[in-house]
Amino acid sequence: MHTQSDESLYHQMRSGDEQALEVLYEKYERLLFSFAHRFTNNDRLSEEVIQEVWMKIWNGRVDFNTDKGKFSSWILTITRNAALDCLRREKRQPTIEVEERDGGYDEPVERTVIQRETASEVRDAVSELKPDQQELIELVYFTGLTQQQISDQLNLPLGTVKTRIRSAIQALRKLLDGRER
Amino acid sequence: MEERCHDLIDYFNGTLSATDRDAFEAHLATCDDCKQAFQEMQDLMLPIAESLPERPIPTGMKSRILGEVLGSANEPMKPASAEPTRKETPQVSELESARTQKQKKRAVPLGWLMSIAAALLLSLGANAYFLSQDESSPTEEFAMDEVKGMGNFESTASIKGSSMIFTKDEKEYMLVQLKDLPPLKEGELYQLWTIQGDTPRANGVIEKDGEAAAVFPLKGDGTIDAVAITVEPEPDLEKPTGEVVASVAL
Repeated sequence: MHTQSDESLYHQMRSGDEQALEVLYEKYERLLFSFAHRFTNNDRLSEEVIQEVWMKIWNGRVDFNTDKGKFSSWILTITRNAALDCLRREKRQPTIEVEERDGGYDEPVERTVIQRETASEVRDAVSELKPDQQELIELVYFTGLTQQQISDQLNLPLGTVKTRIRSAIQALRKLLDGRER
Repeated sequence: MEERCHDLIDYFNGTLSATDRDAFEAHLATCDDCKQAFQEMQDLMLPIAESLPERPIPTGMKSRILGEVLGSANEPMKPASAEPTRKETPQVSELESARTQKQKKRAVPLGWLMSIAAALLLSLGANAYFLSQDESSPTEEFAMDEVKGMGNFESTASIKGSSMIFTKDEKEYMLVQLKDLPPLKEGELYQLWTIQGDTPRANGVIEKDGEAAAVFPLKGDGTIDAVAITVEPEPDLEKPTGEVVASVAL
């Protein structure tokens, strides 16, 4: 079952298969939690975000099809939107340090070799970007600021922001592609 | 660059109004440049997410989330012709405990219950601590060590609420939050009982109607199977004398 594609598990789940839901949940639990945590900086809020994501998916309030690209990118987009909504609700800035709950944690599971390599490769690639490009990636992906706010923050004309963001994204893509070869 | 092209970032971040969003989606269908830029932003999401430092998963998160999701009101749309494809031998796993939670019809938002627990624990002493119910519950981080069980009350008297057993510094506590408690007669009180097997033990008193939230240190040792509430003439009797008006299996 674990070798099934995400897309086929998704369709099984949408027809009411709880087992498929569990497999997909397990597959994405760590990735989504770390991702949500990057926005909320808080365990409880991250859990709420992930719950919201699976509620939406299970209840068909969002729908995946292959026109939307890969399932992994799609579910991360849903998670990111839910995390940004959560931040807006909480009116928290993602950079504020919030004390963590003193609760228990599951035993860490070793990441696969591929995941570890990906993680370090992307981190290396990001670190090779120019500092202003790193900042743009951070602003676009993790703060949810509007283009106007980014423009104000960086003191750049509105039109220039999009162009700069695009070149930062393309530069990162290029660095990543270079590593894959 | 067209005027609409400036909306790309705001579209990506979901900050456009519904009208602007629709307009941008129409634009996206015709502007190859925006389409490609949007795709590039989407495609980087996975490598960026994978590059983040891994966070430890809070204990029991999977069970809580799947419990909520499977217990949510709307079942997924089922195609009329397609039978759900199931494994012949489903694994007994956290899904089972999620199903159990589903059967308990847990409807109280977990975060809210936990934030009440957080507020209570800030000044929890040896005695029961009562809290007036406040929707704008504090957002302090809760400091319980482990949640040992939780569920919603089932009631013959329309009482709504939930209970959670948790540990903190190796002591066990029971959190209850209740509403729609019917009015009491003079001298009556609501007695909470923890039940182990068939044995009830008086463990906390609520002397008001309407709404109440409280944490009681658990008496005795061992696993609590259920919590029940009766109306009694006196606190902490040996055995219940009144009918059970609400109970929850944990």
